[in-house]
Amino acid sequence: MEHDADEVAHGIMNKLNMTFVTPLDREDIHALTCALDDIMDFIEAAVDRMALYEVAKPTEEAIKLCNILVQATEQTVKAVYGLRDLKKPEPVREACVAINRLENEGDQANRMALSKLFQMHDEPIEALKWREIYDQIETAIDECEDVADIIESVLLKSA
Amino acid sequence: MKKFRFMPTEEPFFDLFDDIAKVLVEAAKCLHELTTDYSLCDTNTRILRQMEKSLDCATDSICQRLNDSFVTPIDREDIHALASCMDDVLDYIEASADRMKLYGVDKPREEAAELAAILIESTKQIRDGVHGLSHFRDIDAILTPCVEINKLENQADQVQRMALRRLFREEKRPLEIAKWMEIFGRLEKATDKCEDVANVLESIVVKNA
Repeated sequence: MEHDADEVAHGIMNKLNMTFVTPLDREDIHALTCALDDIMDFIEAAVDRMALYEVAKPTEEAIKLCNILVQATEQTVKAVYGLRDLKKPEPVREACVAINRLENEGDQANRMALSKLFQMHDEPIEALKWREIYDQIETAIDECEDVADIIESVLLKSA
Repeated sequence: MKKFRFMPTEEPFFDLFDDIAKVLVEAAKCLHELTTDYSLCDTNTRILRQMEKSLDCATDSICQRLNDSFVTPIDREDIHALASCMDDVLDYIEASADRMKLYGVDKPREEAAELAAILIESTKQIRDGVHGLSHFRDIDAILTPCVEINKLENQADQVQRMALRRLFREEKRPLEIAKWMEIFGRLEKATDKCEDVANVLESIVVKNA
């Protein structure tokens, strides 16, 4: 999936360099492409670390963070889709607001997860592993917020 | 629609960027030297700190010039973004060396040298890409290094993964693991920052294409 995303991103860049008139500002298209690609990278990294560190099984907190991430990506899809029709900015704006709310939830969930993690004194190495995994998932959610920021600035420009 | 571009022939901005890029390459070499010959730890961390200071000065003079100039060869915000991204690259190179010293690691793990070697390549590509800005007609001179930087960043990811796997398999002292997780993390982040520079360069090309 990560490679697929890279391919699509690369395709957009090529198109961008060959197209004279673009539906959005060229630099916004570029920024949006990079930000979407970043979400993918962090999702992949989180999964990769779980395999790499050979963790026994996902913790409850990891599952919770992933649930938030799934919702954030769903809202990201909505926001990006809405760019087709900038005359109706409301659904796009709603999605962006939702992403911001989910990012806060992600922060909160990460904090709770860390607090629980560092209370299990007996297994410091496991704690180190999970701290990094949580961090990757949380960063993936942050990247959704970056996408929302770019889309909001596109809305402002076109208003 | 006709597009006008006002590009003064003599451009101090480009010279300043070239200078910064050269410092980045030197910094990466300095880090690599430290990881292969750890007796240089004190000397090279000191050199890196000086480089960081001198780069801050160069960045300042770019900002200064930016405030004084009415016409800039590329958009003002791009000049600013480029300068601060390049500054970030050095910050992470310096921080990587600094953490090794600060945490008093016995000796650098092998993969640290590998990552530093990748950083030498990435900074060289930055140097070439940034230099391409001064003769804008040939956009491949800018875009080709960007592609390379992306590839190098992927390579660094892989090296970091292998480094972490080996770390967790071989090292049983939790604090040593924590130290090296952070050092590897910073080294890898330095290559991410190189990618950010590439993204700014790409976006400048995209805008002016």
